[in-house]
Amino acid sequence: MRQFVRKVLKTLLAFDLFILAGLILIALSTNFTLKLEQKSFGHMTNWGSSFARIDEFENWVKQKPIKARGLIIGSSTAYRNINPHILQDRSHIDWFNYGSSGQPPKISYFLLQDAFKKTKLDYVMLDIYPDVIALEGLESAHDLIYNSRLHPWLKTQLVVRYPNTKLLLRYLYFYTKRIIPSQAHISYDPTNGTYTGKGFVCSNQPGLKNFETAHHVQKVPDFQTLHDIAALCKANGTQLILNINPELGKSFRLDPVYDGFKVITSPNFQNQRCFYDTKHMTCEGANLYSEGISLKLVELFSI
Amino acid sequence: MLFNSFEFLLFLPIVFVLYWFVLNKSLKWQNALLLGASYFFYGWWSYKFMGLLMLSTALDYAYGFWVASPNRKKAKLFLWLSVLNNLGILAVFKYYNFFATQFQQGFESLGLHFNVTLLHVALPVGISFYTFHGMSYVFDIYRGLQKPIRSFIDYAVFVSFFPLLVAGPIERANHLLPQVQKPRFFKYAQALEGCRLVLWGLFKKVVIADAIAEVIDPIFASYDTYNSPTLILAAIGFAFQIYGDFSGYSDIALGTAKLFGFELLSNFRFPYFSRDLAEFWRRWHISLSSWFRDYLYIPLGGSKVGLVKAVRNTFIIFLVSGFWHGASWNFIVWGGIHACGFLPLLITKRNRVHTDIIAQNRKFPNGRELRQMLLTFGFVTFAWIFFRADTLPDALGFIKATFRNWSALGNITGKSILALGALLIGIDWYLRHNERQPRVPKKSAVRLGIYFVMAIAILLRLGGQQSFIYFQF
Repeated sequence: MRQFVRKVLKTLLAFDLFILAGLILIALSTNFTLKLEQKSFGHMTNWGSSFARIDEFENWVKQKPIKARGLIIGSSTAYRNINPHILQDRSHIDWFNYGSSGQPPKISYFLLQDAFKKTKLDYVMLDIYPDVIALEGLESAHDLIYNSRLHPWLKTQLVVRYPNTKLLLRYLYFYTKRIIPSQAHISYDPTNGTYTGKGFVCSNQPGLKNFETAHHVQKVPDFQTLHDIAALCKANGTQLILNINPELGKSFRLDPVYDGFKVITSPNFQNQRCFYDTKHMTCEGANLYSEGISLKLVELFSI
Repeated sequence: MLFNSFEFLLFLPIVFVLYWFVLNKSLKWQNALLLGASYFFYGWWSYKFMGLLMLSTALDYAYGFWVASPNRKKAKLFLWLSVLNNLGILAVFKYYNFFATQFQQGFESLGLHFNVTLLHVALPVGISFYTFHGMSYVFDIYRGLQKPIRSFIDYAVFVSFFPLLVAGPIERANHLLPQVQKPRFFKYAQALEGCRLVLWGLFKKVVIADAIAEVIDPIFASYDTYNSPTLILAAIGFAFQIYGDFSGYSDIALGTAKLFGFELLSNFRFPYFSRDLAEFWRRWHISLSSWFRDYLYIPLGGSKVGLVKAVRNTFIIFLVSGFWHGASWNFIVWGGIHACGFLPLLITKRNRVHTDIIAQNRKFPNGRELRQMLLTFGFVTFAWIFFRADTLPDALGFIKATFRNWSALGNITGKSILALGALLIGIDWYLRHNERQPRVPKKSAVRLGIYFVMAIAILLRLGGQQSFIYFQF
């Protein structure tokens, strides 16, 4: 029996070494060809600019606040549609957009917990796009682990939370690349957007033309993480604002639970030229939309 | 808990260490651990239905004593009560909605409006398997092949042993119970074989079957929009998927049981190398086919009761087998197709011609064998369409579309099915001499390399795991 256990342990050890050797080989290969990396893990991507956003966020939280601070969290509809520069100009609050690709409320809560440890936040704006609420968060975890310099401890927590081998291998590969001489390669698509600082990505795509669809009404449901985030904000003396992101050809009916929150909705924001798809806005659209949010913020808090 | 989940990767070594290192000196404690682990394994999926599993176990345990009565009339009465009890559980949880709907439709066709109440409960996982375990125990006692056992824990382990609890193999009391009752000793070679079977089973399920499912599920969902070659590929793909899925599950079950010192019944013996349908049924889902043979076909007289009755018995066994899989007409038709395919072999008494291993001392099959295998595979694949389709009209629609859409030839979707199928069949051909002990290369470096590549392929696909097809039965 002991012989068997020894054999199993030896095989597992050899397997780990085999994996490690593979990771090193792939990382080294980038000095000669990028194909091996692309085929096995895909290159790091610049689509949502998580790399720049998280680096900047770490600096932002280290600065001594000179005025009230606000953090915007949510998925791509947050970082593409809500321009913190405009919000800051109108509300005189130092806003940072901490959205990331496919970020469901579960991950927002996880990131918020960390943010509260690092800085005092006076306002938190949770951007809600109903289709993202039910997501487990694996896509978001991939983005945060592979495309950002999120703190290693947070990355480790994500790997444990989402038991997925590809995620684990990407996590290991990310650090393997940092240890050994390996050429960094970040895929960049200029049509995807320009990072303008404070976490915001200004989309470079043209607005829609001739968009036609039947109008739908979608219910924005109650969900447990909403209450968890509210409790977290309350415990930290932070004002929570819920922003329901508009969608072209759709209006939203809020669950009665939202009556107890400060909610910003923009049901009339339906100009197709402001959107490059049904939910993401063009640069001009996002700026116009952010102006509207700023006005509602000022109204809500009498700033 | 699924075999192809991270939870199981943690669960298995913990139970293994407790079983062999902590409780190895007491058979009673080892069996208690296996029972506790099995209930935990089942409860992980749904603790609500654990009560049903325990009730079914307790009833059959009690029936075992009553059926052992020397008074044959009394024994027979309890045997029937036990059958009613087990089939009653199945009737309520698995078949009630089907019968209620048929009843309602029947009345409506006569112009009578009739409202029936449908049950809105999920089908308890493994119900068809553990009720059959219980029935085999009571039947074997009635037939004098087994004595009722005193220890409830031992009996409950026989019914609920976690490797076979949710999708078989359907064990026989006289095969598994003696293993539960006897002290088990760790055997290095057996444990190693177990590991190999688990690895191969996971590879078949996660790498082959699940990858094929990703390709063919959308095709079956909207078959009208695909051309004929794609639909044919999808049907072939399902033949590989269900084999990879279910035989993969069975290999993991057999391998896991070996790790605890148990030898379970084989469930598959390379069925796609069958040269006729009779051989196919000796190689496909063996534990179910032999269960029906021993407890239904032979008591009905089998094939030794004259041609008409033999034909009747053949239809009964195939139709019941189809209905066992699911309460839906498409499963019954699937069984009927197999009965029709089997009938010519029965009538011409050619149903036991191929009992040997194909191309036993050769590397490749000869032309005749190849033709026979392809014909059998083609027939089985056609029947699988009824098994895979959601409803009978869907199955017929799929077949119609296969004939109709030749004119719309364009891109053929799903070519990867052939590569995955070839991989599965190629490896099976290499292993075909013994399903219980996979042949391995002699050089340890080559062997280790193969294991590692398989393990990486499995790990890369873990996380978004799909359930096993047979969990729904």
